Order: sequence, then C-alpha cells, then structure tokens
Amino acid sequence: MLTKDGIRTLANVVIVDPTQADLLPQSCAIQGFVTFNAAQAKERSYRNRHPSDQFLPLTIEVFGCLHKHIDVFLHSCANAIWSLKGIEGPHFSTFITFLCQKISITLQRMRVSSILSRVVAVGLTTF
Amino acid sequence: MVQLQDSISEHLHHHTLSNMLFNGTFEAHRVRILSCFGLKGGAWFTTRQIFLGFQLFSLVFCIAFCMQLVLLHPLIANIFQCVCTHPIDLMGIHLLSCVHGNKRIGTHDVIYNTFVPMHEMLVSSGTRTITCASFNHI
Repeated sequence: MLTKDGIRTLANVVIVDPTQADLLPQSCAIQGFVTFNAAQAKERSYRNRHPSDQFLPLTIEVFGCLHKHIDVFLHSCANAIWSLKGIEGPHFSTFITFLCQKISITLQRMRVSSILSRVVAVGLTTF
Repeated sequence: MVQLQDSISEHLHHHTLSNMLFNGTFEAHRVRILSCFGLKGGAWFTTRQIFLGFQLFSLVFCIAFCMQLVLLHPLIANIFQCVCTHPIDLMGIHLLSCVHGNKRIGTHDVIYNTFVPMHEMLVSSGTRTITCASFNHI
C-alpha cells in the first residue's frame, strides 16, 4: 500500500495456531509467543524490502490474541477516521475499540463456522 | 450496561485465570486460556451490539463463551473424530487448527478483506495496493 506522504506501508495478515506441537512449551509459558514468533518469521521473509518501507505483520491467534503491530495498523485507521469526521477528544479511542471489537467478532464467527462445518461433516459421514 | 459488562468480564478473568490456569491443566488448554485472555482477546465480550456487524447470534455467543471459560460445548461432546480422521480431544482444539478444508484460509481472507481495503481507502486513498506476488519482483 502507499500512503499519502509517499511512505509505503506493507501489511501481511497471518492467522496462527498457538497449539502447535513444536511451540507448545514456549507458548504455554509466554502469552502471545506464537504471534511474536510468526511476526519475526515474516520480518525475516520480507527483510529485502526498501529501508523506508513500513512493514506490519498482522499476526492473530485463532483464539483471539492479537500482536502489538495491529495496534499501529488500527491507530492509523482510527486517525484517518478521526480526521475525516472531525470529532475531537476521547472519541478517538472509541474508533480503535470498535475496530478491535470487529476483529474479535470476526474471529468468533469464523471459529464457530470452522467448528460447525467439521461437526456437520463428521455427522454426515458417521451417523 | 458497559460498566456491568466490564465488571462481569473482570470477574471472568479472575475466575478463569485463578481456578483453571494454575490448577494442573494440560499444556494445550493452558495455551488456549492464555490466548483467549491475551491482547484484545476478549474484546467481543464488551461489544455493544448496535450494528449488524457487531451482532453475535446465540450459537456464536454460546461457543465463544464456552471457549472463554474453557468449557466443553455440547455440539462437540459426542464427536470423537474429525473429517481428517484425527481424534478430537475433549475441548475440541483440533477443530480450530485442522488443516483440512479452507476454513483457516477463510479466516485470513475475511480479516484481510475487512481491514486492508479499509486502510487502503482511509489512509492511502487513491493509491495502488502492492500484493505479495508483485512485491517479490521489486
């Protein structure tokens, strides 16, 4: 993506599973370890980017935990909404809260969708 | 109402973390608790359902609530095998991490199609999007 002032912002959405067997000892001790690990892996894979580019790995765990880079992403979106609508004061944090809630609700819906699809599929094949 | 939801959420945090996290749970379940109570992990619980996009239907709320409290949902109580022939544990964690089908990609696509065009429209309005495929050729 290109921003208005010419600085490129590159975003990469990653959905990670925190219950991976090889990362289980670390992830059960450190909160958000899998998102941090996946963000570092994306940083390594995009290490050949231009130095002036801003890279935001948007890593999300399937159970709902977000990486701290999403705050930067949502902050820029909320800042743009705030400047468009011209609302002052504490309403700026309301935009960030709305965007976080939208991510969380989307995750809940997709979680239920993935559970129901496999339950129905198993029910059709076994019963 | 929001204050009541916040206090309920606070009690849920205290109850789950104190009684379930440190009392001999399995590693996968501990990871699930830590992830559910991670950064913005419980944001859905304090949502005011004033828009259609913020509405949680009863089944979605039930499953999300059971996940948050580390409870077993009755839907997956009698299912012992996934479509990929992998055995399912009591909490149904495999159902979320199974690579069979396109549901994991679907979650990625929904998040991408919701937020990246919004960022593109608001912050970088009128400019082009560089996809990963085109970025590799730069």
